[in-house]
Amino acid sequence: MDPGDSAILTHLRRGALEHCVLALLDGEPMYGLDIARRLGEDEVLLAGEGTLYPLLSRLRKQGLVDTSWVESPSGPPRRYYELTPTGEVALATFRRTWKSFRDAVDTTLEGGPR
Amino acid sequence: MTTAHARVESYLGELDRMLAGLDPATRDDVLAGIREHLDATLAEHPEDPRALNDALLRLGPPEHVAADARSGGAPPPSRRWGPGAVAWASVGVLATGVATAPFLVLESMTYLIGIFGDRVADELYLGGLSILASASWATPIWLAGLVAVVVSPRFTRRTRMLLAVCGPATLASRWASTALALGNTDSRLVAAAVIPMAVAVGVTIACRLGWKEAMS
Repeated sequence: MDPGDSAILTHLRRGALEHCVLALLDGEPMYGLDIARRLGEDEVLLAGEGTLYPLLSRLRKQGLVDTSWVESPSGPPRRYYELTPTGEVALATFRRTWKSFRDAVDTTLEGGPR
Repeated sequence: MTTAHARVESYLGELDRMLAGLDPATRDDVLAGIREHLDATLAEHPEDPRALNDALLRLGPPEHVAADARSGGAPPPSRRWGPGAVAWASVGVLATGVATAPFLVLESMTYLIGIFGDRVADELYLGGLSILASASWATPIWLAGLVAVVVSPRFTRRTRMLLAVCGPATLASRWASTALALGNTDSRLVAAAVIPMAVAVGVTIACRLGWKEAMS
C-alpha cells in the first residue's frame, strides 16, 4: 500500500472503525483476538491489530460495549465484548447516517447529477 | 515456550513504558487486552514460533498502539508543510552549497595547478579567483543558509548537523591545505586533492540529503 493510501485510510477510519466494531458485536459477543482477526484481515479497517485495544477501551468507557469473562475450551478464560443498549442505539444511528454519507460521496466521486 | 513468553513480556513491557502517564484504567485495559490476545495465540499454536511472530507483527509496533491510546483514535497530525517551509529548506541547502562548493573547487585547482603547472588552466583559475575574491558574499550567504537550515522543520537532525558543518569544514580545509602546501610535492598533493575533495564530497552528500528532505 503506498503511503498516500495509508494516510487517507487513517483519516477515513476515524469515526467509521468504532462502529464497525459495534456492528461485529451486533448479535453475538466476541473476544479480542476474534474481533482483531475479522477487522484485520485486509488491513483496510485496522492498520495494526494492536490499536483495537485502545479502541475497545474507549468503547467501554463510553458505555457502548460491556465485557464479561467466559471459560475457554483451550487456554485461559476470555474476555468477551458485547453491545450494550446504548451501543445498539449508536450502531443504528450510524447505519442510517452512513448510508446517506456513502451515497453522497459515491455520487460526487462518480460525477453524478448536480 | 520460555522464549515465546519472554517475547510476549518484552512486547508488553515496552508497551507499558510507552503508556506511562495515561490514566490507569486505559493503560490496564490495553495491556490486559493485548496480553490476552497473545496468550490466546500461544494457546492455539503452542509449538509454533512463527504464529507468535505473525501475531506480534500484526499487532504493530508498541509505539503505534500507545500513540493511538494517547490520541483517543485521532489520526496523527499529518506532516504536511506549507510552501514556506519548503522555501526555507531549499534556501538553506542552496545557500550552504553556493557558499562552500566554489571555494573547495577553487582550492583543489590552486594546488593542482601549482603541481602540474599549465598556462591555460592557470588563466581559467585566475579568472575564477578574481570573481570569488571580489565577492565578500560567501559569509553572509552561508550565515543566511545556516539560519534557514536551523529553523527549517523539514530536516532530520543528522542532515541539519551535516549542513551546519559544511561551512566550518570548508574553512578548516582551507587552513589545512595552506599549511600542507608549504611542504614537498606529496604533501601538496594531499593539500590539493585529498582534503578539499573529501570536504567537497561531504558537502555534496549533505546538500543532496538536504534537498531530498526539503522536497519530500
